Amino acid sequence: MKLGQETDVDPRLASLVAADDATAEESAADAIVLPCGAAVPQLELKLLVWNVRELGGGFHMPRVRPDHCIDGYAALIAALGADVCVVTGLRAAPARLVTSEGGVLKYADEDVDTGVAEAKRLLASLKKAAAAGDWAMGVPSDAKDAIVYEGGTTTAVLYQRAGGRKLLSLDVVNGRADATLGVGGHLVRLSLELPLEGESPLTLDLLAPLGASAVTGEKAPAVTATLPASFVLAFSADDDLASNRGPLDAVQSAVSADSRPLLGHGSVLGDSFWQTTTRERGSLLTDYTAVSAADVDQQDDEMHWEALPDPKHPKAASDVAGSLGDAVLVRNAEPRARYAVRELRVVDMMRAALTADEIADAGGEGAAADEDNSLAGLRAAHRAATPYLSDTAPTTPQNIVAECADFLHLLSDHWPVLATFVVRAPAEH
Amino acid sequence: MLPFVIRAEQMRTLRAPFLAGFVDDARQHAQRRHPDVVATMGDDGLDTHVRDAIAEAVNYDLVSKRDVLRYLSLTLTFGLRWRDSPDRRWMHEAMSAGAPTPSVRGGSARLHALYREVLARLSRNEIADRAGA
Repeated sequence: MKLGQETDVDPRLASLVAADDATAEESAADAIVLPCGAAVPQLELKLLVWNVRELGGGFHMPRVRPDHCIDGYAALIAALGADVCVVTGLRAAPARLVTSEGGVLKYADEDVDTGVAEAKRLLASLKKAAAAGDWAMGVPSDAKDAIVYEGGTTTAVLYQRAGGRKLLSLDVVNGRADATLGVGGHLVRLSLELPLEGESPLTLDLLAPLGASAVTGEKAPAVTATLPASFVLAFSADDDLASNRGPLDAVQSAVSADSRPLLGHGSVLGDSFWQTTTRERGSLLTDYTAVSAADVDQQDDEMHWEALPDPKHPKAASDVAGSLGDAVLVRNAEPRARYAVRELRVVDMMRAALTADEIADAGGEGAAADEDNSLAGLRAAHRAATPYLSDTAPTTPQNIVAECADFLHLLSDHWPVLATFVVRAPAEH
Repeated sequence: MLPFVIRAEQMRTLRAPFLAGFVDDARQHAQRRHPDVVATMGDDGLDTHVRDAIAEAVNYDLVSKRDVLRYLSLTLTFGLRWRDSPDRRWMHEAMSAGAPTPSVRGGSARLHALYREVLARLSRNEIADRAGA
């Protein structure tokens, strides 16, 4: 089921990019006249990119998310079998500190690493959900071990250590990205060593936005490394990349990344149905919490003037509106292509939140996916913990979809993007 | 001891079976990645196209398997003989040794730059299809 409308992409673009990815298997250094014939050391990796909106608190989100929400992140990462997970959107929420000096109380606002604290909860949950992975987390920090932010936001990278994988470095590089992207001008660079049996270890160089647009007067983070020659770039923005190519083009040119086609499906969940209604007709609804937020049938019955038409609530998950905000880019600038993307897709969070029967009822289409049902139990926990959700609401498709959307909004408005790609050894000199 | 040298005759002997195998690989690449185009060609048409594309690729200094397959993809999408097409001549010029960008040296680098430019233009809907639509 899709989130948002199909994008208007020239089919030749998708065809040529897929063809290019396919040829990445072939070493550019292997001449036709004398084929090398030797197998190139390589391994397949799954990268999950998730913009977890305002983890640690913000205008829309609480500082501390409930356990079923944190467990939801971990459950999905485990269900998808990800090797590396980039979590963007970690916030540092301000806290009022009160100190006493000589009997005089002083008040000061100071940012606290609430987002990183939440990410540590996520790591702890993930260690239980996928214990075999021996998961660890890296967060960019300076020489004094202080977390590095841009625009009050930072990024964490979760990675598996199983099999001897280890973090080589975690740096901040100057991405020269356009400030209007909402991703700031700096990137996190993670280098991960990937052991390969009988071969020299491979290296994954992964880039991701450090934070958000810098605040006026904010001191720029110290740059500790440079862009690698070849890399994988996880990109996330608030803009709709499908309707406005500007942000993606700017990032691509800023870091000289190879083009990737836009995803066919959206990755950002649209406004909740009642919010859409209030935005369009502000005088209609003043307090949507007066009735169960997940009972849209009741909202239609009790909260709209008869003279006005009812809002159109999605009956099927495929009708849920959204936009595209996330992408994965690859740059290969060495004689041998280091990275080849096998698959790039948006994780269908609606399928993840539905039970198997509900997927069928909500018009679920296509083959089963790894994420199916992985969050259904946690959605039930969300319902139990949320006063305005009711067990007594009729189980119509639109109510089920509405309840899922309510739960998913608590996780994030961004749906994660899963990239499966091959990491290859560089050409021998 | 003299260095081991592969004489031209030996090179041709070595190359012939490899090229035959490569044509098969190229056909498979075309069938997998461009099935719509291949469906309109027929077996003989595809075979001719692949061999012509390889010949053109060699003229553009493309020698690696990957580069030739990428070039084949471009020709399946935009046709052969770019030099003779007013709409595609810019692609020929980008692949020629006298390409305007000084930093782009060698056929492989020129192809890489062209491929990126083609993708960028396609994403902006700036390249009409082969029928000129």
